[in-house]
Amino acid sequence: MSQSGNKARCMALAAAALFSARPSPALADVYVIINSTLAVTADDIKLIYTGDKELVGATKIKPLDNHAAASEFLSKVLQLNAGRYKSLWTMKSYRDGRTPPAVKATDDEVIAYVQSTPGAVGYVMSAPPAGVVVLKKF
Amino acid sequence: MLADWNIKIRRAAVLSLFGSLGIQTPATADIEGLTVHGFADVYYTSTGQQNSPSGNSGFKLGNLDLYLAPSLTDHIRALMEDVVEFDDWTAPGTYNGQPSIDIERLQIGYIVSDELTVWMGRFHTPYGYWNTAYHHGAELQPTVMRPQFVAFEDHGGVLPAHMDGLWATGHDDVGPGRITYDAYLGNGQRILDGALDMQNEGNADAHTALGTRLGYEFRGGALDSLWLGVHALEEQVDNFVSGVITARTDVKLFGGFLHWTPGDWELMGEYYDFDNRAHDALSPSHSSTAWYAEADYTFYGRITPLARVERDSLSQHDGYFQYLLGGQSYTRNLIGVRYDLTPQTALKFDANHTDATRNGGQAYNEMHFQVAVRF
Repeated sequence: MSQSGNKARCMALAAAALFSARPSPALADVYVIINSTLAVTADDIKLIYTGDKELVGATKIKPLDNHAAASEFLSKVLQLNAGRYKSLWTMKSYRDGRTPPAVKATDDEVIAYVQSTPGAVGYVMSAPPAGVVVLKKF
Repeated sequence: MLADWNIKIRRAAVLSLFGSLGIQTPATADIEGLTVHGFADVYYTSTGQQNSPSGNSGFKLGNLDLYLAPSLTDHIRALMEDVVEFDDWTAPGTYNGQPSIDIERLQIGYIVSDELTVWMGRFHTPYGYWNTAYHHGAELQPTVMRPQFVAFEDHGGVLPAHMDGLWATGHDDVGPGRITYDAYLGNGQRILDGALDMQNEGNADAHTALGTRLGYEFRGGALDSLWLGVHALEEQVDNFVSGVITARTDVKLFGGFLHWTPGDWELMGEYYDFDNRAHDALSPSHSSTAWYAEADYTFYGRITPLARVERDSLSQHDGYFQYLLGGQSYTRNLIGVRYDLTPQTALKFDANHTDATRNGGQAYNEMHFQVAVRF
């Protein structure tokens, strides 16, 4: 085998390794963030977003959906598709008078709301800046 | 013993409501506009029943249901639901199809914690699964019609689907799941024109209805989502004809229910055992039973064939069932299919054979095709 052939093979393998190491959109990280005054644990995330936990002491939990990261969050964290998630909140609203999570469009909007609102919980896809409390990274 | 229990329940409900109001500080309102949600449905019916109290074969308007659910503060919320409907049961053969407007729910609640919310007003009576899970949300329920004995008071149902009163509800994590509970008291029902009336204008007869539902919902493991429970209700129900009481009955019911969604399956059932007795009489009580069981399976996330059996055996010596329009025994076997055209639009078809000959009624076949939406 020629030297140039080995080099070409090595370059192809390196390129393949580099390409496969790039995260695909479906495997993007999801960071669940909370307001610094909120005392909840990672075990509470699913309960909060399915409407089964709404208070911590006297503080109302205010979950927030992020349009830009919703599909990753629903898939990785709640194991629900968008239709089932919407149906779940329709039933919660109809049966119990619960208000579904408000929706923000981008990570920046979610971070700004969560930092400024007591009781707020949100999720983002980009690593949040220092000072933001990350409850769990998925 | 029962009187003591009644007094304790009333005291607990009143104390929890007003006590919690005193303990919690008010928070700011959380309303950014007010969204109106709702359900609507239309359907086609073909029935072999002669002089059907629910009307003739043909195209029909179902319900237009509108509801509001504002969160007034972090701890106070309200639920208001109005329905326009066209298919009230009437005396057989006198169906007129005129619209009627019902205030289905008007309830204001105080959320003490995840473990306790106290509501006051008119609410969906918490028994079994169907009544609180679907109620007027036709798009939510798998079939076109509710099980007949669980139908609304003005559709031949034999259970009080609504209650005016106080309702405490909540849940608490225990073991691999959580305990759920409901306890309520309200105006006792009465029978007017063959239908239960929950006395929205006040408790003229001074009879109090008392009830409870206790359940356990599994989370995780092989039994994930299984909700099992028991329910009980007792009240005195008087039958009125032209303003005159013709029967007084002490109604007691006890039963159980389950709902389970393992994978793409959905299984549910409810059972009721009545032990009714004429009030102020030494005659023996009359036993009656009613139950249904239903199973469905969803293919490709949107095609759901289903089957349901309904059975009730209602004593005709009982002043309660004797005067209710739907108080006759029947059996019903139903098959159907639901197709979710979109997440908010369902097409449903079902067919049933009903046999009500035991108490002199008819045996007939019936089919429904429904388009139901939510918005």
